[in-house]
Amino acid sequence: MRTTLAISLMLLSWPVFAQTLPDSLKLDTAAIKKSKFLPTGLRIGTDLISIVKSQTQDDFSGWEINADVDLYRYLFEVDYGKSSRSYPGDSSAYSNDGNFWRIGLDANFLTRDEDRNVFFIGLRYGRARYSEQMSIIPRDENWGDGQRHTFSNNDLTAHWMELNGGLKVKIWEYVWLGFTGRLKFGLSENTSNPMLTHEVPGYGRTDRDTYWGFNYYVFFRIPFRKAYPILPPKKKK
Amino acid sequence: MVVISCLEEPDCFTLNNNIVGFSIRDTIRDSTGIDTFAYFFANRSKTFRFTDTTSVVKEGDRVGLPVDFLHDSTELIFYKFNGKNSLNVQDTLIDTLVVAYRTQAQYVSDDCGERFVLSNLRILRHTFDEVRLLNREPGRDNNARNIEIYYYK
Repeated sequence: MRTTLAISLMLLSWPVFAQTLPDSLKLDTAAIKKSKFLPTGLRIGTDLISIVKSQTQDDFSGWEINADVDLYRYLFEVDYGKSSRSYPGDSSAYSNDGNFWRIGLDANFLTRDEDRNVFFIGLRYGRARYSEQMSIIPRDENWGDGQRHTFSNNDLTAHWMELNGGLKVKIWEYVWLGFTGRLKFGLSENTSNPMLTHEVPGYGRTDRDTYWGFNYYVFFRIPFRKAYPILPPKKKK
Repeated sequence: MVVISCLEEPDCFTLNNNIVGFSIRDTIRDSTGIDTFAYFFANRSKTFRFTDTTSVVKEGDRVGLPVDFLHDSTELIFYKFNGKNSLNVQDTLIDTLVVAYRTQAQYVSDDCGERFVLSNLRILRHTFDEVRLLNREPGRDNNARNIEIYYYK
C-alpha cells in the first residue's frame, strides 16, 4: 500500500520536471531576486500513518502535525507530536507517554515547478519529553525471586538528528500529499536511571544506533502572497 | 511480514549480561596441575550452589559466574579442594569475593520481556591472595574475562 502510494506520488510529480517557461513572460529579475526569500505560504499537515495506527493498533496512540514555509528553494520545517505505547502483560508490562518536536531545513530540488511541488532532502533536530513505566517478574533460574518489580522514568528528555528525504505533491488547489523517509541517528538520552529507556516518542526503540521512520502526510497550504515568477535558466555564452 | 518481525526481534535468550568471567591463576601448580573447585553465590537473602557437581578447573582456566542482577552486589564463595573432589576434606580452601556493579532494567519486547544491563563492575572485598580487575563490563556468556584470582598458598 505504501509502495503503491509512493509510486503514484512520483508519477504525479513527474510532469513538473518537464515544464518550461512561456517565452512571453516579462520578468523584472531584480525585483524577483529581492523578494524570492520571502515566504509565499504556510503549509500545515498531519501524519496519516499515526492516525491509522492509533485506530488499528491496540498498543499505540499518537498524532503529529507538521508545518513548513518556503524560503526560495528551502523549506523551514517544524513538527510536533504526541504518542503513547502500552504493552500489557502478566510477567512483563511496559508503557510510555510523551511528546516530541522536530525542527529543520529542507532543500527543494524542484525549483522550477510552478505548482510549488517539493522533492527534498533535509536535516532535522528532534527532541522528546516522556515518561515510562515497567512492571516485571524476572525469570531466571538463579536470581529470579518470583516477586513483581516496578520501574519508572519520569519527565526524561532525549534528542537526536535526522536525515530526511521525500516528496510533497499538489493534489488540488490547496491540498498536498507527501511522504518523508527518515534516517534517525545520534540519539542522546538519560542512561543513569535504574531503568533504561525502551522507546523514545518520535524516535523509536533505543536499542539501535540508527532507526528508520516513514510518514505519509496530507497538507493544506495557506498562501501569503503571489509566488515569484520563475527565472529562466542562464544562457551559456 | 513474519520474517521481518523475526529479524527485528533480538534473541530472547541470554539477554542479561550478568556473567562475570574469572580466570584462575595458581602459582604453585604448573599448567598441567588440576584442582577441583565449587562455586557458591550469596546475596542478602539466599545462598545456593552454582553447579550440581564440583568443577574440575586447571590453572589458567576461565569460569563464568552469574551475579545477582536484582541487587547491586553479590558475594561469591569459592571452594578449592586441592585435587580432591569432596567438600569434607580438611585442606579445602574457602575464599570469598564480593563484587558490586550498576544494574539497570530495560524492556525489550512483548515476546522477550525485560533484560538487565550490568556495568561498572568493582571488587568490594575478598580473601584471595590477590585479585585483579581486568574488565568492568560483565558478559552474556562464559567468554567474559573480568577478574583474575591468584592462589599463592
